[in-house]
Amino acid sequence: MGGYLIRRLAQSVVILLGVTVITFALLYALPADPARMIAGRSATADTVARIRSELGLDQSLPVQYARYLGRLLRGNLGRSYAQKIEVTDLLRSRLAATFWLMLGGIAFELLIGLPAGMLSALRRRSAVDSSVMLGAFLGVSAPQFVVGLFLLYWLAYRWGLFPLGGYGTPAHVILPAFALGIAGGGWYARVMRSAMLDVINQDYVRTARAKGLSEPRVILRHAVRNALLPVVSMVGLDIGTFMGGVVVVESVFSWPGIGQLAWQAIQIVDIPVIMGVVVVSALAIVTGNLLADLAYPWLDPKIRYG
Amino acid sequence: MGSIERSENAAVIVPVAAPSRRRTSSPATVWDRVKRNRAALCGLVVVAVVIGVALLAPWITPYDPARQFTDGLSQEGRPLPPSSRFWLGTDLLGRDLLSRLLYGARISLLIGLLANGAALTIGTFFGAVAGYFRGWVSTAFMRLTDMMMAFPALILAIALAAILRPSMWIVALVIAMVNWVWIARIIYSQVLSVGQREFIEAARALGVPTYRIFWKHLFPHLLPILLVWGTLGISTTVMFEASLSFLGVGVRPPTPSWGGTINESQSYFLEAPWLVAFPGAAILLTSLAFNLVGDALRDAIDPQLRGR
Repeated sequence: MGGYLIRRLAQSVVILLGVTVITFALLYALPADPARMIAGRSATADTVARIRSELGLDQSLPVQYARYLGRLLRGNLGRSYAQKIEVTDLLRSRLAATFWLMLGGIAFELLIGLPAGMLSALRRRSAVDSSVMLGAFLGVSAPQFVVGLFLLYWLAYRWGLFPLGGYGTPAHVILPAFALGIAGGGWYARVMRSAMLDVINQDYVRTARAKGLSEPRVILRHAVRNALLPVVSMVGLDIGTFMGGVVVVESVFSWPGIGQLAWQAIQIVDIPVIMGVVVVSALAIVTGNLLADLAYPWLDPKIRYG
Repeated sequence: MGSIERSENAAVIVPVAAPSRRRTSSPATVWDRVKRNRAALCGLVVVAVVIGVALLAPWITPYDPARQFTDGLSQEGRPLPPSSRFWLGTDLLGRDLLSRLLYGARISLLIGLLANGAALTIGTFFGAVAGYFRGWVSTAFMRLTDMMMAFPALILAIALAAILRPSMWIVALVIAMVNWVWIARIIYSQVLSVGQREFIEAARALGVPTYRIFWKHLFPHLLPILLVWGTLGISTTVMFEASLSFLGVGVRPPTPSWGGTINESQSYFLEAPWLVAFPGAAILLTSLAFNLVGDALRDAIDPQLRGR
């Protein structure tokens, strides 16, 4: 276990380094001149040149990258071009909002997906099964921004049950989290269904029945617990993806999270902020995967990492 | 997995002289199985309609999608609700929404085909090479794809599309860049298993050139899975394109795109919800249809995968 953990951690570090290299190269190779952006359209060539050298943008790309990496290792993500604030401070102010949205989104995914998948598996090949699965497909195929806009229209604007976007109270998180959870809920339902079908045919479930346990007990204690395994790894992945910023949903509900930050930074080519978001997102995704892998042996004693 | 699939699976072990495991099914059986799936048939009809609309757009649209009608806006300058003249109403500039949506099918499908085609080509190439040669090639491949998967895909795509000044080609390229990794992983594991079978080894022993082994012996075994993921991929791509356009970094106006229409109409949404509802329904239906067909194909081609 220890050896496995060290190997996985080392891999994660390499992945993160790779992500910074590629993002850095891409962003700086693109035909956008940050110095010009900061100086403004009317600035003289001298001003632009001065800003360029102040930011170190006149150095060669490898030198710039080495400097960036050096600062990154000390936990310094640089300063925003546009807002003259440390990127770490910007990110910190946004992380809480993204965290709550992530939590709410995953809660809805599980609330929708698990019961739907279980129901579908237990009523296999019935009308219930096919309608639930069609529903799951609908959830997966619905664009989040359309779902979000209509939730806003009916539940917030027409019926006034929820605030019209924004952030602050628990009531604010419900609609965006639901919009986020619908698609995931569809996937979870499909995965849960197929895992349940696998498990129900296993010997230990037959044994549980044979020794006279009641059906709900067989299903809940023996089938569901084992069928949850693949769902756990999906939750791990989703923690990562959602913490990395959900641009579309955040933009529909004007949710002040990482995704909005990235979106605003991209529009003004604020490269340190874009880099910061990418680094934090990649870190979240890698950590999410790691969590999922580590949860596996804990849930299923048959799995052991050497 | 149910008993029917199990017994098919068991047949693999029973015969003494099974020459090679047949894991795929003939086109005729595939069609037979898809035909029995009612949802998939509905999906197929929708797919056909969307393709038909995209091909025939200039002949079936009531108006020119770019034409701004002087009577296309209300006295206060608001878009018009659906009427007998404009079946789905008009957009912010007084253009006929129906005509724009029908033309939008072209954009969505074209980008879907381009992006998906590119992702399939790149993914198949890398996945097949890594799976066939194994060793350090495959290790390098796994680490590279791990890295690509750790990228916040949408953020990267938005950054690229925004900075590169989006055209249809750029949007397709960006989507392909993000999506090829998944295809590559799938192809990789497929080639790992096919590459170990006897006929590949025989071809290698006979001195068949590597490119020929790939093309003549390996590739045909990948076709069914490519068909499945190609179909499912169109659904992903259509959604991805819509998201980019919704954020304003997709295909640029005045090109009529479904996501773009929703983006333009967002500020008018509370007064003119149909401007979001109709393009939204178009995206939902198209994506749902390709999903249903792709899923049915997957079940039909490899019954062992049913329900996954």
